[in-house]
Amino acid sequence: MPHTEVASPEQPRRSPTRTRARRASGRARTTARWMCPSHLWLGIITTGVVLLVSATGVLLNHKRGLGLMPDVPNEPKGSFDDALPLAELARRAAAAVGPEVAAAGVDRMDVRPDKGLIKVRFDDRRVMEATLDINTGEVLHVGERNDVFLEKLHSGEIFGDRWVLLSDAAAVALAILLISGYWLWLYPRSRQ
Amino acid sequence: MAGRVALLFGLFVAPAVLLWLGQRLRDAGATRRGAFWGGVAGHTLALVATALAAMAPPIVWTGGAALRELVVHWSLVIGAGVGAAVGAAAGLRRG
Repeated sequence: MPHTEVASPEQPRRSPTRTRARRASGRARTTARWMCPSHLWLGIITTGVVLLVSATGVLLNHKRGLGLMPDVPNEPKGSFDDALPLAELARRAAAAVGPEVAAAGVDRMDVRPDKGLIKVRFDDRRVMEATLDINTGEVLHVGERNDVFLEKLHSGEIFGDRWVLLSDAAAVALAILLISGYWLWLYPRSRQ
Repeated sequence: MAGRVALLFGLFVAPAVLLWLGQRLRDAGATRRGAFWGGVAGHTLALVATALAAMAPPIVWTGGAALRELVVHWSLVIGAGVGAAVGAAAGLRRG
């Protein structure tokens, strides 16, 4: 008796292409089920941080125009070799900002040889900065560096060094929101 | 420390609670609907107040004026809570 293969009606043979397409469709359906609530929850929970990071980012982009950092024009009065010692410049800056601010200590000194000036930033609450001529020691400007606070708020550093992770989380959340937003917009169109 | 925790609660937990309250809002009673919309309004207003107080003037708020410190740290939690309570009370009165 010859052996013949008869395809069972209950179990029709599927081509590998159709099986793959069906699996892909199942995965897309699963993704669609969690994509919308994830987008919604992530969006609402990170609204505050994303808003804060965005607002501080815009302010930082225009920090000069908004007067958040001083722009002191100066021409070099001598060569860089003739500049006063750093300790002397720090002393003059401390005298310019007053004893209360000077007591907080110098945070950093930013030398600009091309402009012949040095910016001495203090570590006080208001972040005061004195700008001096490096050759004459003349005090050119004394004021707050408000952009430093905004930078720290932007990065999350205002709460402490490890809090930069908060800003990282907001950035990652924003990226996920963008991707999931595009997906939610394009997926239904791709099925039409 | 308590202020920092309140700020983080206001930033992350309050919106999550409001979102949870907003689930199946059509089927919810007037009290829950009122609490949800009151909470959303209170939190939104508080978010604007917090952002303004945090950045104007752009100097660190801790160790400064007590009112500013209070607005920055506590207004999100208080805004959402008070808004939800007022909304719930209004919903309860409407029945």
